[in-house]
Amino acid sequence: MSESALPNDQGLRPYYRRDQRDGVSPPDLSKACTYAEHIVHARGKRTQFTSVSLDLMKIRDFGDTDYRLKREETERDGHKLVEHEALLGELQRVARDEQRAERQRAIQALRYAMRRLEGLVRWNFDTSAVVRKDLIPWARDKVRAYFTRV
Amino acid sequence: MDELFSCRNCIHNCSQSLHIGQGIGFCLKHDSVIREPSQTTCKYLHRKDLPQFVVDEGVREHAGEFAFFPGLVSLTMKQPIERVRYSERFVWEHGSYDPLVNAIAQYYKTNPHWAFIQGFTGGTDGRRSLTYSAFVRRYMDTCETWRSSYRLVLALVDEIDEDPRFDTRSIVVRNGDDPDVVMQEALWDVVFTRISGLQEYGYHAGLENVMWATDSLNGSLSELNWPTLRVELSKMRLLWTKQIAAHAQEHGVFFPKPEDEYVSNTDE
Repeated sequence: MSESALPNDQGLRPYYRRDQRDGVSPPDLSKACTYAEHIVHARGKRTQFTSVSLDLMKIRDFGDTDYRLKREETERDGHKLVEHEALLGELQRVARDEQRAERQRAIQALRYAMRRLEGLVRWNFDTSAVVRKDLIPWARDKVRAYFTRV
Repeated sequence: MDELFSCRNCIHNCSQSLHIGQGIGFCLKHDSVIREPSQTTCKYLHRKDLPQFVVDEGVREHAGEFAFFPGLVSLTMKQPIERVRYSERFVWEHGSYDPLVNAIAQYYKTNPHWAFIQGFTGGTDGRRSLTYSAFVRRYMDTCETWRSSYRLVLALVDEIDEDPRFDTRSIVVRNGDDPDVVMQEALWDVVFTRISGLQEYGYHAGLENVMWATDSLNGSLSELNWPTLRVELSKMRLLWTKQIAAHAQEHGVFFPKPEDEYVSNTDE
């Protein structure tokens, strides 16, 4: 495990993201999908989730700027951080118990998630007053508040 | 992970994958050299890592995103990339010769194309095996039928349990990567490209259990355990071979002429 994956003072391991210089890419909160669909991009590049990693070195192809997830604030505000091990556990379950496309996507997702030491953030914003077509730009500022540049 | 949408993960750039093939690539769709395969894409992307029919929504969305570009495009900057014709002289003069890219670039000079593709079968070279699997998949995709592909797919199935080998010149080891880990990932790039090819054949031929071949591979695939998966693939190879041959016989397309010299009008 690299130094960047060591826990902080609260015993919480930091999660990172590499993304574009002007900030973290917004999720598409209207696109509900499974963990596996998100990881293999089966339903497109943006979904309701944001991928993060325990090790910046493992996610170099995501962009050129490094960010750290403010995980205490994220969880305090009701968003869900799916930890790396929990993510692998769920993908393993789907790969074992499901069939056809779901199973297949889970197998490949397992491989990618292991390699990238990946975790996921599932955002729980109240979007009831947001028009669907505005969801992505709306989410941009909301999500960026939970990341800090490193 | 945008690299999944790059030319590295596209069947039209046969000899490269996320972890295989250093240097330039070659796109058969655009008949062009790809200078930066990890940073290049286009609207015709057909992923190597999974069968098209399990990622079709994402691929359609990607095609829409790049719809207004006629050719190759920079993946991150979204700027058009000029087509570069392959020149054997140029690659020798600039120290970028690659034997597989050199061979693939001759594709449109040969006829029939399926005979050229057959030349990539066999052997244990992982990169060559990747190339063959990608070639078969794009041939099927271009023809949009199984009828002209069954013979190529039989050969693909025949090597489906072969242990792909790599030397350090074949794999892409980036700064900080462990070469042994990359070697292992390269192996999975080949294995998934092969299996996805078989599944796409199942889709075209309407063979349900071939289309979902991964469901026949018990725990070893989901555990990403190559030695045990290899044993399972060896067993399934015989069954898939029989089934594909029998299906082609049923439909009267299994080597209908004894000398097998005809070229069907559905060939590329």
